[in-house]
Amino acid sequence: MRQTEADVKKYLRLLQIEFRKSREYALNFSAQIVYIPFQMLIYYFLWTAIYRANYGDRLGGFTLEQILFYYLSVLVLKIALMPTGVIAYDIWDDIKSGGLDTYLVKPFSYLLVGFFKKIGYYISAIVIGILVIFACGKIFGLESGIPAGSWLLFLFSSFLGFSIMFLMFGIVGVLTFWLKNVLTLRDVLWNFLMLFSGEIIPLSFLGGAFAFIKYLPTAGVYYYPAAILNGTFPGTDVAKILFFQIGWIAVLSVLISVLWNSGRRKYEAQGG
Amino acid sequence: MMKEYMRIFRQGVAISYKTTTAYRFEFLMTWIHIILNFLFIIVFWMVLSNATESLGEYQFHELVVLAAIILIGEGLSGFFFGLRDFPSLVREGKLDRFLCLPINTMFAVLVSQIPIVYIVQQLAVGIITFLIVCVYYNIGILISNLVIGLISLVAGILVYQMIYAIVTFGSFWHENISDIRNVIFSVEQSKYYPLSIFPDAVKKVFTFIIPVSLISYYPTKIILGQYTVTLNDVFVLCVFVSLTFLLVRFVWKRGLRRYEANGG
Repeated sequence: MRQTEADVKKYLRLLQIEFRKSREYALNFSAQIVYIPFQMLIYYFLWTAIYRANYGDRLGGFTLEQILFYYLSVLVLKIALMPTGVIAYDIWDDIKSGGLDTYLVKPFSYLLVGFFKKIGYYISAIVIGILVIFACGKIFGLESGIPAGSWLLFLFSSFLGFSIMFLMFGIVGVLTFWLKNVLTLRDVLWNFLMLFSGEIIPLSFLGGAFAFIKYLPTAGVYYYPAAILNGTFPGTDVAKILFFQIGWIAVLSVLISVLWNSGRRKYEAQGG
Repeated sequence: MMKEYMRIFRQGVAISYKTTTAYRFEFLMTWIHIILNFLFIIVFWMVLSNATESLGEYQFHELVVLAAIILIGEGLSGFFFGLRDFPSLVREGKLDRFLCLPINTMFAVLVSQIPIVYIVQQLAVGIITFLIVCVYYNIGILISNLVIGLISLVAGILVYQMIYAIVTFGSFWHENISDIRNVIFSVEQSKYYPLSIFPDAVKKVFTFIIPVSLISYYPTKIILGQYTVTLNDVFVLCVFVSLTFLLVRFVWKRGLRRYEANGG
């Protein structure tokens, strides 16, 4: 019992250290949000043209206002979650340079340390991000009375999205034990995220042969959190979405643990 | 002199090729990366084409041609890839290494970072897609339009990269120019969409200030035979290329003087 308590304390302390950096993170995030107006303008012209050429006022279940609000949420989520992907590079670098040795002799989990380090930026960014979404939504008339509950669910769902992203990129990083260089594989994962996470188009537009994308873990990164905030899903479906995200976190956690333990044995056997 | 530069260029290309192909898996992944990147743009247009009849007067097959021309342009722009990391060379004083060489400094910087494999991959995927779409959709392309379109694409790339260089050389005066540059050129994303969807004021910005349309929209229109180039267009483009060249030379010389004066 005492051991568990001590373990938890270690990671909480790490989180505390990360929070101390929140001012720096907030500055980084603020520098990133400058892009949002430019990108929103391009989306505005693009989707206005698409809706003008379309005969109905809804596409993929979205009105023009809803789709613009969706992209606004995705842009903010992207800025808050993207630095999480650096974990693939961090692991690759530590394994390749032998820096992993210093972590292995310490009494904590290398992957959990990486996770807690990334949380610091995520929390700072998502808090400011919510304010940005709220303010932009009000200014441009895109946000029409979103209930407080939806904001909370969005926050929770985005945290699950953050965890999924961490695990996916973490798995790519851990593959360095076998593949030597995984940086382009990481870029391929970024590619997949573009389409399969709802970054370039909401997944509700993808039917037929592409319908399976909604069931991939990538869908839980941007699409579901943004759609929850948009009010695209009724309450009962939101619960299913959250379980869907938690389910993928469980699967990916098992996968990364298996890969890590096996890779670590290989690393140590080679005198790493 | 010219021979010497060609030799250095060939060496730069050879080093880049060997570095990229050193790991077989990594090399394979670069192909998958480029193909997926392109496929997803096609899927994006395919999905939207199912939802709407046309976009800015463009049909699906024309949007794919646009994407292919953009990819060919991106391949050619690869020769200027060295500009991306130029601010860090200045900030860390690493430009000294290039200033000591008995060749043109800018040439040395660009040759040191030619991503030749990516350039070849982008050109290959772009050209193959262009040919497939033309054959599949029975699009007739006149050789004269193709030649003029490609010349305009190369001219557009030159103008665009020189404007990019002008902003990049701001690193001689401002340490964090990369952030400002990234914000300004974040509008490059608009090249994937037909210029006709934007209002007139934005069209002018994308043609004369940050000329995104010169590396995507206009070359595609010319190749598809939907835009006839007039003498006036040729004159305007020549003036544009000349002016940006003079400006980039001016900023480069002033910047270099400042760098050297600071003991760089």
